[in-house]
Formats: sequence, structure tokens, C-alpha cells
Amino acid sequence: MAEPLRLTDCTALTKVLVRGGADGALAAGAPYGRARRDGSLLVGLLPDGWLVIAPPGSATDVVDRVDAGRDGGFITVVDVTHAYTLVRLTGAAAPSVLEKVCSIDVAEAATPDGAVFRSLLAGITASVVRDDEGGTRSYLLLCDRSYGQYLVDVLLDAGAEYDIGVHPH
Amino acid sequence: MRLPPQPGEAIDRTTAFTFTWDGRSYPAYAGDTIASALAAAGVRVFSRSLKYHRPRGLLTADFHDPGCLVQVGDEPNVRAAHRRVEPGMTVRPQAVWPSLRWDVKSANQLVGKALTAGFYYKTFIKPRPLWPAYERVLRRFSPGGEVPAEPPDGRYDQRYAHPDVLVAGGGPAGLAAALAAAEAGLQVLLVDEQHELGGHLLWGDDGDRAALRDLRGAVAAADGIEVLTDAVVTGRYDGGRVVVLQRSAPGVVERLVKARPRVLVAAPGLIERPYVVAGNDLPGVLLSTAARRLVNRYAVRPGQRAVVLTANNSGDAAVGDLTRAGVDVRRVLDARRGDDVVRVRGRRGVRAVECSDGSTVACDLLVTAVGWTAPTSLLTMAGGRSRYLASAARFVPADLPDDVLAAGGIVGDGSTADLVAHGRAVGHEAARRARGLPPAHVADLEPGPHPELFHGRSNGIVDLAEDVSADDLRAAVAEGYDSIELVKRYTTATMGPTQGKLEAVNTIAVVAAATGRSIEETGTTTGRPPYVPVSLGVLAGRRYQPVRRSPMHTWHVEHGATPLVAGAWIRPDHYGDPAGEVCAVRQGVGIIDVTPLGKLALHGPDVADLLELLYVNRWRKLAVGSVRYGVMCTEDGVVLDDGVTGRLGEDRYLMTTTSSGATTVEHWVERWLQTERPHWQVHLVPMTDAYASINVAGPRSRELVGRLTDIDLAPEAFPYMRVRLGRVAGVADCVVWRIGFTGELSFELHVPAAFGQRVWEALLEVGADLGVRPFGVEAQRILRLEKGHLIVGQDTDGLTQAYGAGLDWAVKLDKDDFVGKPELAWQRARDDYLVLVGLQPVDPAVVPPESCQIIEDGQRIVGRVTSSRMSPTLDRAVCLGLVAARLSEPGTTVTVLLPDGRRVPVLVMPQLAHVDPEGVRLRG
Repeated sequence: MAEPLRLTDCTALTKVLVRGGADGALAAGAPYGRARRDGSLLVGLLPDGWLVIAPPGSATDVVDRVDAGRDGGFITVVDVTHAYTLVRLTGAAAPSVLEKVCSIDVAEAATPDGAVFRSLLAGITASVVRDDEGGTRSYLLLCDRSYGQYLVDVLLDAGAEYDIGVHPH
Repeated sequence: MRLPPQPGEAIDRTTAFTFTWDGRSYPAYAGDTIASALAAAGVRVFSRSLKYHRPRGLLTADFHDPGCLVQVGDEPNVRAAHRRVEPGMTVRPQAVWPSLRWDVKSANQLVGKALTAGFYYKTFIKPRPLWPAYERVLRRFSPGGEVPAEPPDGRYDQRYAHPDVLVAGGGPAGLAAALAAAEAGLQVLLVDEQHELGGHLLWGDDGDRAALRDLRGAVAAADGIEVLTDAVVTGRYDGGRVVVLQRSAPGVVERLVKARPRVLVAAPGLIERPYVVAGNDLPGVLLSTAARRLVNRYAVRPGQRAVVLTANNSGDAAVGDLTRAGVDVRRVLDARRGDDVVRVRGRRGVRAVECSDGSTVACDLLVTAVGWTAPTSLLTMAGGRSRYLASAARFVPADLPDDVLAAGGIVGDGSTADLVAHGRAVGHEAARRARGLPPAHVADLEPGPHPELFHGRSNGIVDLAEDVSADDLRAAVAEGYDSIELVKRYTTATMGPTQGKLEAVNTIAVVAAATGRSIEETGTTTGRPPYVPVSLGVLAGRRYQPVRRSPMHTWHVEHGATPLVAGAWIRPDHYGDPAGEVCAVRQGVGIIDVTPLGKLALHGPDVADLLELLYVNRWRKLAVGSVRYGVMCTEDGVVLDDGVTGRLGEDRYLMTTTSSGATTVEHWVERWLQTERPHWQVHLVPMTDAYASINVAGPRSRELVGRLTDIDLAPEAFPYMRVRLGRVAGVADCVVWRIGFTGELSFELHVPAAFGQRVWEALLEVGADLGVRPFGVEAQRILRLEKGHLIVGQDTDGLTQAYGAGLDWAVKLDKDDFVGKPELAWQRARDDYLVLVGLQPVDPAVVPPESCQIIEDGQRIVGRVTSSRMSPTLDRAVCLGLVAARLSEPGTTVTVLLPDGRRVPVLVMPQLAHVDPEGVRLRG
């Protein structure tokens, strides 16, 4: 039986943005457009920018860890936990829901597990991270916090056809 | 008449129900179309024609049938020969009065000669003043159903798709092409207009049905094929986008699929052409494919006594089907042997057919099989062409682009096996091309010979949707419209709902004959999207109207704030009493949600250089903990944005922008960093949404904020234009600014967003004894206007340079460089620009609306009012305005033209501020 579709609010997760150091360890771990899970989730969000997604309340640890690993180059590390809404869309029908709100190809060949892209979702700029859970299609969707409720409303509307459910984090 | 069960019937006889047509109840089975159920019950007339209101019945018995547009409930223009009937459905004829049987407007037939081509242009062109009257009358004759006053129930949806191969057409060739592409491991979107896959095999013989079973089984078992039935490709657009209209999508009324396939395969089969002869539009004249559909798919006997005019296998097969169905086939006229129909007789339906041998055969059914049209418009939309092949009496595809292929009947003729083989070959080639391999040739299916049969010896209807006859076309040619494109526009032939599918080739043939040119020389009209009519609802799709909400949004709603839409933000305009809110701020303390304020974190050793470059004023000496107001201009010196920037640490700054300018400034800064000064070490991080921003304003604001923070707020410890970091209401990592847009002592709190509402409520709770109250955007606008603070974009426009905005004090032309410096240096040397000034009407009760013109000498415009309000503090009207520099001297009286025509004197003030121009309250 196909995995049911569910939407989970993950906004409380720590989010730390790292700018710069495109030649360093972060780039090797997750090049632009890719994400890598290693305890926390390292997302190659920009050509010179990474987002570290980690458990709630761990911003200081993440910042310290990034600082400790810097190679002396110019980088900026900012806790952006409060700046973004983060939701997870999981289930076999997740690609079908994204196809309603986003023009990017979410087929396996174009956006496999670990793919990252930034595009318009229902008219707002958002970042999408394919981060499957136990073999089930799952996407993390990141948008400006002020658009969060709008994005959730849109996803619930688009997912109604697939009996989308809202799950607590 | 309903036949006994047929081997390939689409109806489910175990599910019977009733529906109403024209007020009467009729039986139906699940799987029936509206038209098939009515035809089974003996109904023959479904509509009246567009111009002459002649009775019309079934012709093609499919989606394109021009005589079967009906009203279903509130839905107009439903295709009765395609739409499946449902229990309880209410179906009505359209645009008839008083009834379908007795339609008064059929009197038009009596003046038919006067209604020839272009009669609108000839009849109603003069006198021009009477056109509105003509229009009212003509509107009563407009075709179509009734559009409901209210939006229909249900949803119209859209989605995107990215198949490797999109196959348009689910007949044998399309099915085979889809299978071949899928077997090559590609993703395929297979689209078919009918409710089931199969194309003409659906109404074929036992062999056809066996082949179809195999093909459908293979498609169902194949990985990678998504099937959309009751769906049609409406167009192919630039960049290879293919749009599909899906009508039976689950949960929605209609869905528009925006697909971007690597390769498009067009396999639409062929469309059977009507024969143009007198009486060819009477109910009872059927195409051979229609007769076969009715018998084999819907178990309907279409008549009692038939004449069949055949020129091909389809007509021959129809003879067999009709005979098997118990129809008395009284004459078979074989056009291949020179037989022909001269005229069809009847009034409400076929009564007899006059044959070319001079005989007249009494009958109620004429079935014609006179030729095929290849629907090439999708291919021509994609950049291909079509060429006329006289030997096959049809146009065929030619010169297709590499990412478009054609398969099956549209290309040529053959047995089912031939069509499948061709489809497979095309599918393989589509797979190769989708993988980026160079195109290889696919052997064409050869079109078989077919006699050229377009029109007979009498005048018939060519375009049944638009009621255009062969004589109308001939008349247009006689009037000089000898180009097929002009004939089309003059007569409206091919411009109706069928869009040329049935009538285009016949139109071309009639025009060719009338002009003495060949069909090839005459050419075709241009096929443009959409291929079939598309509802406005599905084009609109879901309405995406992004809105931004602050962390305190719920509180504002719960406390009765009147919402204001500012860009995408929903902001509290006021809480019921904006003037009272102003007074609270001036006399005590108020709080306002200013979260939309743009906030950009800047980090790096070169931030000061960046600020020096982008702002017109100085920044190099800004100390840690200090704040400065800055103005940004574009290269032409026009004011782009303003705001304050604070230095939070040695190389950390927080820049604020106007609410509306946040994104623009972010992009502006990034542009300079990335393209003009890439060597600078500066990183920008947008932080607008990271903080909930609350401005606490009023003489008691220090007292209020002091109750919630450990930051020393004493004037000497935290003077005006400073910034501090600390805790507020127990929330760490807050940024506290001492700035003031309202002109009052104020503190702006930037709180980590998740804690915004907590801090907001804490301020109201601990400040209750101070009389704290929330104030909205309207009160803020009044307060800032009283203080004379400009709003970029309201008090400036796309031409206002810094000096014109009264920002002389900020512009430092002695800096080495900054964006806009040369233009501002030039502006400073001129006096031919408008200057922002404070204005007060001489009559304090008159508030000139914003945008009122300031005039001179009675009518010459010399400026305008940019902001105006009644000031609760001063109890008089106060304004800002742009006026000609020569009129900007304080004490000058200018004239403002009000919307009602009154001219009122207005005094130019010494400064922009109307309240506390010295800034005593601000610095308190």
C-alpha cells in the first residue's frame, strides 16, 4: 500500500546559514544543488551558501562546529532558525502535489533523493530538498517565515485530492 | 431505438437511470453520452443552427459534433455527443425561443439570401449611431448557452508534467508509440480525447477489438505510461510546452496540464469529412464513423431506412453495421464508381435522397463516407507544415521539427497491424531523440488512394458550426476575397467551435474551385492554439495570491484590526480609531507591528565601503552601537530607498529598508557585490522574516520597554540613534533600536520571530497602567506626516532625485564616490526640478486629497500634494508636496486644485515637520 501523504511542520528545527568558503569542507560535503545527511542535514542552497538543518535548540552547537571547521577563509555563519518556515511533505503522492504548485521536474531522474532546488512554489520563492524517509518520497520545503501559513494552506488544498494529513513534528 | 447488446458496447446495461432533456424524462445507461441516450429514445433534433436556426442533429457523434451543443444545468455549451450522461442530469437546448421544435428565429431561413457572407458588415455599418441598437437586437440572436451569474461549483486545477515523450492520441498507432517509448525506459504521457483508449478500434470489428485488448493490456502493464483519457492536447507552444486539457480528472471539473516533453508524438488519427450538398445539415445525415459509433458503442439504431454514399472502407463497413442493426439500407451509392448524392430532402429531418442517377430514395438516414482530414494543426503549431496530396484527397504532415513526430493515420493508411507497426517505429525513434541521439528517418506510412469528394452539385452547408454555405464562400470570392485567410475572416468559415476540423478542407476546396486554383495553391488557414475550446476556469486554475503574515497576525485579527494589504503583507491598518491611536502615541505610549520592515544582515570587513558606495551620506565613522539614517539612489540620482543601518559589531551591521523596498534593496546590494565589487568581503543575509519588529513609541515608551529588558535605556546610556543587543520579555538575541519614524521617543524591538507575539502581549500587559495601546499603519502615517518624514515611493516618484526629496543635508558630494553622485552633482547645479516641502492649507479644515495638483495661473501644473491628513495633534490639515523649486520658499502661497474644482490656497512651510521640528520629543 502506498505511503499516505502527510505534511509536518518542521519550523522549529535549527537552521544555520553559512555563506562563503565555496572551496572548503562544506562544498565537498554538499555541492550546490545537493543535500547530505550526517546527523544534521547539510543543504547546498546557493553556489556559496549552505543551510545546516539540525535538531531544535542546537544553533549554538552548529555555529561552533562550523566555526571550528573553518579553514581561515571569509565565511559568515548566521542562525536563521526564525527566518524560515520549514515543512516536510511525505508520501507516495508528494511529487503529484508538488507538480500542482511547481514547474520543476520532480521525477526521480531529474530530482533524485538529495536533490536541492530553488523555485517558485505557488507564486512564492522556496527551496525544495528531496530528503526521503525510509524509502518513502519526502521533501523539505523552505520559505520565508511570513509566507509559511500561505504555503501550508496551498499544500493542504493541493493535497486534498490525495487525502493529505497534518502531522505534528 | 436501442439495439440488443453489442460486442463492443460502452454502455453498462446493469446501471439504468433517467435524466431530463427539454423538460422531459429519458432513460439512459451508464456509459451513454447525452446524445446516445437521446438518440436511443428517438430524439433526432438537438439544437438549432447559428444563423438560420435550422434543426440540427447528430453528425459525427463524437466530441466535435457541431449540432449537439447543449446546456447542462448551469453549464453552457456542453458537447452532448461526448459528455457522459449522469443520473438526474438536467439538459436543455440552447438559444431557442420559444422551443427547440418551434423556434421563432428559424424565420431567418426565409431571408437567407440577405444573410449571406459579410451581411453584418454590409447591413449594420450605417448609420453608425444606430450600432448600439443593432447590437442589442443582434445579441438576442447570439448562439451558445446561458452563463451562470455565480461561479460554478467545483475546482479548476492545473499541474505541470515533464514526460520524456508525450503521445497525443490513443488509437492503435498512439498506443504502440507509447509502448515502444516506455519499453525503452522512458516516461510517457499518453493523451486521448475519448473516454477510453482505442481510437477507431473501439467501434471496429472483432479483429479490431482483439487488437485493442492486447494493446490496452500492454499499456496497463507497462511501467512509465501515464494515461489521460477524456483529455485533449490544446496546443504546442514555444519552448516545446504542450498543454493538455483534462476533463475527467478526479476531484476537479477540469485540469490544465502544462507538459514539457522532450519529444511530442502526434497520433490523432483522421477526422471524417462531411459532404457538402443541399440538405447536408438535416438531422439524419451522419458520417460513416458516427453511424458505426452509434451502433457498435452505444447500441443505437440511428434510423429505419438508409442511403449510404461511400468512397472508402469506412462507408463499406457502415453498410455492414447498419444492416446488422436492422436498418433497411435501401441504396448504396459508391462514389468510387461515380455515384453521387444530388440533394437531401426534408424539413425536420431526412425524408429522401436524390441520387445522381435521377432516382429519389425515401429514407430517414443518409450516411456519407467521402474522405478524411488529417488534423495537422498541432504539428503546424510546432513549426511543421502540411502538404496536399491529391491522390489521397487530404493534407499530410511535412517538414516536422526534430522534437516532433507523427504516427499512424495522420501520416498514411494501412491495416491495424500497419498502424501499430508504424506507431512502434515512431515510438522507438521518439525514445532515441528523447535521449538526445541524432534523428533517424522513420519509414512513412503511405496514404492510400481516395477520390477527391468535397462538395456536390447543389449548395450545402460547409461550416455547420457557423452556418456558412458553399454559396457564401463563392460570394466572398466574387467580392474579391480570394485569399483563403480573407475568406475565413469575411465569412467566419472555420472560426466556430469546430475550428476547421470538419470544414477546413471543404472550405479550401470550394474556394479553390471558385478561384480556379488548385487546393495546393489555395493553401490552408493557420491552425493556432487552442485546438479545442477551453474554459476560462481552467485557464485561471487555482488562484494563487501569496500573502505574508507577521508573527502577530493572529493577535491583530482577534483584536478587530482592519486589515490593509500592503504588497503581499496583510497589516493592521487600524484598530477602530486611528486618530485616538495617534493621540495615545503623542501623549503616552503605543506599539505598532512593523515586521514588514526590510532587514538585511551585512557581515565582513568591507561593509563600510559598501555603505559608502550605496548611500549618499557618510558611513565610515559609524561606531559600534550607533545607527545612521541613509538614503540610496540609483545611478541617475533617483531616490531608491531609505532606512537606518546599525553597526552591531566590528564587522556586523543590520540594514533596514522600507517595507516595500526590502526585496529591491536586497537585489540591489547583491548586484553591486556580485558584479561591481566582487573582491569585497561582504556577505548579505536577508533577515526580514527572522525578526518580529515592534515599534514602541511615545513619551512613556522608555518606561514601558524598561519594564521588560535588562538593557540600560537611560538617555545617556542609550541615546537617540543607537542600537543595543539584549533580552526583552525574557527573549534573548533581541535587537533594540532607538530611532523614531513617528517623531516621538521610541524604541524599535527586533525579536526572534517565533517569540514576536509573546513580546507583543507582554508589552500590552505590563504597560496597561501606562495606557499603552496598539496603533496601526494609518496612525503611523499620520504621525510620520506630522513629523515630516517622507515615504519613498509616495512622497517621491520615479523621477525624484535626492535634492528634490529635500535630502540636501544627507548628500555628501565631497565623498570620493557613491552611486548617483554625477547625476546629483548635476542636479545641484540646476533649479528645474520639483522640491518636497511641507504644506498647510490656509483653511485648516480642508484636507486636499493626495495627488491633488498644485497649479499656477489658473491651470498650469507646478506640483502635487503627495501626502495629506488631518492632524489630530494640531487639529488642522497637514501635507507634504512636490512643488517647483521657485515656489518652494517658506511662506509662499500656492494653489491646490481640489477634485471638485475648488482652488484653495496652501502655505509652504519652513520645514517638512509640522510637529516638533526641533526634534525635542524624538530625542527626549
